[in-house]
Amino acid sequence: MTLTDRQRRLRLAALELIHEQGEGHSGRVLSCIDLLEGLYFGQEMEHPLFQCDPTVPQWEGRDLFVLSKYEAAPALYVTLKEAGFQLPADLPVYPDHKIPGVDATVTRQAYGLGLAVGMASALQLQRRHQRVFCLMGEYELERGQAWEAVMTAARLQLDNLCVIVDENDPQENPIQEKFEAFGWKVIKLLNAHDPEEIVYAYVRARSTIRKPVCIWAPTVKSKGVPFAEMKADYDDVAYSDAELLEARKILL
Amino acid sequence: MNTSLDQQLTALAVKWKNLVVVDTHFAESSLKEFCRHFEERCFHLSGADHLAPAFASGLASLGLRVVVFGPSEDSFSIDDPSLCVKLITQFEASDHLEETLASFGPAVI
Repeated sequence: MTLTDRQRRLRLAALELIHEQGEGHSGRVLSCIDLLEGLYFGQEMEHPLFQCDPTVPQWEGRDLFVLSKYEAAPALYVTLKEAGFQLPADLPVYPDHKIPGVDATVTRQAYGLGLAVGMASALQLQRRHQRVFCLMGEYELERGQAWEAVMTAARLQLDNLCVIVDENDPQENPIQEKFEAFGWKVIKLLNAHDPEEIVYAYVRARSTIRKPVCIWAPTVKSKGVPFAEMKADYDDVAYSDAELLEARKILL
Repeated sequence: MNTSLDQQLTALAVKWKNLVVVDTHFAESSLKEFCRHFEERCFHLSGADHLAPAFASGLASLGLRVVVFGPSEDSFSIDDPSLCVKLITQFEASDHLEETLASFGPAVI
């Protein structure tokens, strides 16, 4: 399956941003960027899946997004830019709520998931109908705090919460089954880079009642850049000038 | 935590509709009055000491004033210190609770 124009454009923009910042996690950014693209640009019956207004970033009726997988901030920034948010030239390495369109500051593993559960609880208490989306890496599930959040969300029946797990480092032990055991609905993607499948998962998540949803996404690190795909050397680096030039030829 | 603080919080919650508490197992039995009056505004995170700061931050980011009971100060930190989250540890008695909570800036979504 080939990537869409927007998927390619976002990839290149993210790689350029990481290159500009001089540090970053290129492989881990490219693994999850399609999940963000599907969320911010996906539609159901011609209505956006994710409610936001780039001209009024603090609009009270917006859906909320938490990037628990904080090292993927460049993926979020380029997606927000593409969606029409006006971002400053100097962007922090980690997501910061001071940036338009960024709803939460996160600098620690599994912290974002707990924060998203708190947000969803607040919306439930306030009888508001927005939804909370949280993107996390599967490695964050090694933290006890993550499972405290998973259990709490199930106990509070937070059906306004959708957690997307980017599994770019497949484990032998099927962790997603643990979400089901705790009372979550789990939607497992077969191809976590297929925009139609991603959007359909978000649509299914929306229709779930009385339980939180986990979209389990087995992704490919550095997806879309063949010379780097699944090569650990490219996971946690910024591309060199030559590598970026090569990537540009592939993605343009 | 002492009983008077429970009563003080209950009185404050009448005035402040956005006051909520996050209670870990240490203080579970101490918030009887508050939880009896405001069941919805009392979040029991039994044993979830590590989750409490992040969870409270999530509540506060939606405009709620959050009081957290339980975890020790050593393990309690939040990524965004501008949020309206106040930690009260197990044995702390606050004589100036209202002033302390009022000192938080306005919460915004």
